Amino acid sequence: MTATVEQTAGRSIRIPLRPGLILACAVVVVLVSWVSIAFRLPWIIAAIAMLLAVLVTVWGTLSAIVRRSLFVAPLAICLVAAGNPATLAGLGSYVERHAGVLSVTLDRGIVLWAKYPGIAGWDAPTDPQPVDTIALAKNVQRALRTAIGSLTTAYGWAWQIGDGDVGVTPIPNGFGGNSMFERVDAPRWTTDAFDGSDEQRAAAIATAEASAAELGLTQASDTAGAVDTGDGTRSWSADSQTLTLTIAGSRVTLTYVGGPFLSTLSLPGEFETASSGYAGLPLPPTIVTPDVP
Amino acid sequence: MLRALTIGLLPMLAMGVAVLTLVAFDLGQDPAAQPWSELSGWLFAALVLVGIVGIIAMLDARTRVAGAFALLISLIVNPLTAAYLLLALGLNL
Repeated sequence: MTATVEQTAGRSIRIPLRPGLILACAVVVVLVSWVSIAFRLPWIIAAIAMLLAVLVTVWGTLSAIVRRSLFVAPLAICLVAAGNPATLAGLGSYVERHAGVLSVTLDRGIVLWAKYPGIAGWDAPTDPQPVDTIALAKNVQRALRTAIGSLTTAYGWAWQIGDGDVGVTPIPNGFGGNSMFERVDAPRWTTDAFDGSDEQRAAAIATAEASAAELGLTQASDTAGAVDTGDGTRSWSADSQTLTLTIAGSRVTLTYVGGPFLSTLSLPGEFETASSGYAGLPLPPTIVTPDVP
Repeated sequence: MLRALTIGLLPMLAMGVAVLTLVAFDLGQDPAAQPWSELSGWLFAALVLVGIVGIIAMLDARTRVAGAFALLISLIVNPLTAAYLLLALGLNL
């Protein structure tokens, strides 16, 4: 049976209303919708699939009414209602927020990327050694406080502590979970009391250098300007740690960042074991940008 | 006309309300997402209403599939069941 639609010119077009055909079209629309959302294809494909889903709904309704289809045409409507791009995107974002990125492979089934032990966009060493980040954070705090204390005692500088995460924090893996690596951040110490004199400049550099040496950071480099004579930034680094002194006008800033360090909470060989589950799999697109120091 | 509307609109409406309810309850936990947290109660009420309409639609043979679908969706795709499903599947972080 077909529905007849009269056109203005007098001719008519016939719309086929076979429920089986509508169901087949609904399956195709659902597949296209799923592929467009799962593989993050350009939005225009999802928009076309959405339009087709609406057309199938109207077509199915017509079939259900005209052909009195009790099951097949309504089923096609239900299929496109559950499998259209808007629904899939909404459900997908809900699952992503709660379970992280998921992918499906033929040999491993559902892959939970939230449990990925590494960090997207960062190549972990083949045999990472755990670092006692709590002890390191305490050492850093002690070294920086010594430097701040001596400059305050010598010149009466008043310091402000900046915002941001301080201490030991896990680094996100980029797929909705945390990696097995951590970062160590010290508070950002800033003062605006620097008078620009050579004596204070030399004292600030020497104090920062002493703190860096205390932490074993021996590779000094001027990353911007020249702090010895004017505004600039000097960094001391080693073993994934960096202590930075910045002088800009009357402002002196001391910062420290370290990582990624393998957490001491991980058991020996745990990282290798966890990584092997993802060996050979291409990394999916990230949903969070990992903040690697 | 009412039958046609039920067959054609109820499934899409049920799915739309269900997904919006999930999103609203999810974003409602974020204090910055003010409009969503205010809407979540209304959306949940709408989802319950869709379920009831689904039950009524199931009484007629021609709207039975659409009604059953709406009822199932309101039972499965709601914040409580979705949270339990994620837990049961071991997907909750």
